[in-house]
Amino acid sequence: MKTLRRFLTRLLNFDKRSQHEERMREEIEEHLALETEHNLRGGLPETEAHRQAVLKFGAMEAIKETYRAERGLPFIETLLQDLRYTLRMFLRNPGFAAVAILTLALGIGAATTIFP
Amino acid sequence: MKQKTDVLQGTLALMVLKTLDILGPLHGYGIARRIEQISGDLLAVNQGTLYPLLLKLEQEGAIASEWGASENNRRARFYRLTRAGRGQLQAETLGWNQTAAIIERFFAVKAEDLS
Repeated sequence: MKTLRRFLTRLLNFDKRSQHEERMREEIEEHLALETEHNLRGGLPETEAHRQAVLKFGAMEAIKETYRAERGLPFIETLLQDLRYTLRMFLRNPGFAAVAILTLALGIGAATTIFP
Repeated sequence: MKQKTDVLQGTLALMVLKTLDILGPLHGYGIARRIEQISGDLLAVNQGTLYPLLLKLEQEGAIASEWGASENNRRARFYRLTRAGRGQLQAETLGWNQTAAIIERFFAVKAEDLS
């Protein structure tokens, strides 16, 4: 039941991606700000206070990735990213695109005819 | 130099739920600090790993969040335990106590008892 609920939530989250990105960034900033303040009160100089806060937070990018993986559908998002990239490459190289698509079409057509 | 052990995701979730149960609604930073306090600095939590976990718990329905004002009037996201979360907490507490009891019995066994 939990898995189903999480999957549905991921589905619904799919089109709220930018909002969630915003939320994540705000929460992290807030956390770092509070931790920096705490360090400042403890007597550390300003740059050191911020640095200690960041160190204590952990591996920033890895954590952000984990956060993003929790919400949304990472598989489909990756798929969409790849599709967009492919489209860009094809528009840049229409000749290559034409040849590739033609070859695939001939290949698939031939295979479907030979093996019904 | 005390050795700090890394916390597993499951136990961290339990700690989050218990903290919210005892102390009421808290924001992410508050939860991180309380866990640090209660564990007596023996556990090093990469504080950042708390946030994916909070998101996961919220999506599972164990906790709920809403915007509020933290100390010094900054806008922060406050998390609180839901009824489902409370049930999950009780179930896991039971599980842990049972495990601890079983292990304790094993530690108490002496060679003669088993021959």
